[in-house]
Amino acid sequence: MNEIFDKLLIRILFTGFICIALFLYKYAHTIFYPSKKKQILKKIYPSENPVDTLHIFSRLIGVSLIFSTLEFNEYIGVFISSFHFFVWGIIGFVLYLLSIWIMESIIFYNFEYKDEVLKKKNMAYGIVSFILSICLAYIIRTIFKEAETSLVILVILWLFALVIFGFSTKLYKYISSLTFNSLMIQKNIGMSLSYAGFLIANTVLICSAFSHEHHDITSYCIQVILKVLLGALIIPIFRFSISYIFRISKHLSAEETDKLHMGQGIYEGALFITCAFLASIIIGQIHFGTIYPFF
Amino acid sequence: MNKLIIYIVLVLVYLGLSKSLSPSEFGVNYVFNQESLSKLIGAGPASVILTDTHSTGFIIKTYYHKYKVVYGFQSYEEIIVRTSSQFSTKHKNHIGLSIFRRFEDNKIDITPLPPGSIFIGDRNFGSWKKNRLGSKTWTFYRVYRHLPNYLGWGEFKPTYKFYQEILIRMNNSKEFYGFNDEFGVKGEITRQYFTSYFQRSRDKKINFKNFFKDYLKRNF
Repeated sequence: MNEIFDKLLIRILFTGFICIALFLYKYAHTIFYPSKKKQILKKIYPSENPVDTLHIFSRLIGVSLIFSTLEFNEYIGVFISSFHFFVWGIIGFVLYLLSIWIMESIIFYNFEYKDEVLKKKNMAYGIVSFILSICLAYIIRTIFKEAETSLVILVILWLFALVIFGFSTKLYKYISSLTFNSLMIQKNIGMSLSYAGFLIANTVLICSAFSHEHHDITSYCIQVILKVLLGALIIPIFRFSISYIFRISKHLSAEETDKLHMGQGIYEGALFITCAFLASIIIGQIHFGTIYPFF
Repeated sequence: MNKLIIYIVLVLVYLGLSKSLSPSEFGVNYVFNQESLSKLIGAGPASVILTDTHSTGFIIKTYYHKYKVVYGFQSYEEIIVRTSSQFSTKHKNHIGLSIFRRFEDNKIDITPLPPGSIFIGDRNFGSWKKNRLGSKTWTFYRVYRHLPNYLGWGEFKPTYKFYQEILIRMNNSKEFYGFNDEFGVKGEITRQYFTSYFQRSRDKKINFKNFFKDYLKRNF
């Protein structure tokens, strides 16, 4: 009984530790986003500004996602395991917040947080920002797993993943009939759903490309590039097949209304995600074994 | 049309990158004829015995050969090479035969002959001895007593008649499997000493009834 009670106590202690880590995150956020300092430090009224609530909680979900990869190994000692969690938690914070800062600078280079969220309450901005945060958290989570507690490899993979993800976000205009900037200004939800699907699709592909065995970093990175490239080749085939099988006509009529955009956005977003998951089977789950013959 | 061009370019980039960056492309030599094989074989006398063949791939096959290179003055080596489809088909019946030999004066011969034909009759390696029946058989000198093991001969002892037949076949560039077909893919001696090819079940037939039974048992 004592042992069971002791284990429960340790679990509660670690829960408290994670709460302290979240508290620290709140202040770490203000370092990277000084303009949002007031917003994150003051009381939050979810019903007042749903866009802001979405924005703030997207980060929290992201941090939780990253935390979910970390482990407490109590058998190596409470102090050491707490220290390990603390160190890697901070590394996770820093990489995550830096990633968000970099990616938002790329995607929302025309938009300001203050204008879009606080003044205009632009839900389209909120949705894209929410999905972006979650996607980045998933990518960092995958990298954390692949780095296997090696800081050097973690940094290399993080930079590598960020370059691929940043590059991929720029391809939206080539594969979507919706224009990001102009529709974002118009607070178009359809476009935001389409872009959200696009981001999720990219994340699925990148995570799938990163999830394989690695023995040396060079060949690992080469394999990742090849897998991403393969994904870019496979996705159009699925996209064409789905459109053909379900007889989907994607052309917008001359009068582009919000309703039409909504339908088109949902269709595009769902299609991107479907294709990405199907492509991830092709690029990550077909195992040929070694091509070297074992005589 | 533009999208199609971009897609084709992407396919070419992928294939090019895969070809040049894939680690599987390194380390295996490509042999498509006897000349390319010649480059892999060191100083003579050397006998290249085809010991196994293998192919990978579903639609576009890649072919491999495994050779045992038995040298006269050094230990043998085993090499795996990638081959062309034609080269592989040409030698599909030559398992256990020497498909290439380099003489001491660097001359080469490519007639498929029993393994170690190059050493038979060479006074540097052995001599002809008369047996009880009065016929001459080839015996290696003591210092080369390991060669029959390397060559996969077992108890086989080449006779003078066998040697003469080898010389005739070499001159005519006509393959020779032994008087009783002891060597080659159907040869008893080859089956006994180069076992890997024969151990692998080549045309394994699937019994669907047993397969489903086994599958259900294992998975459910």
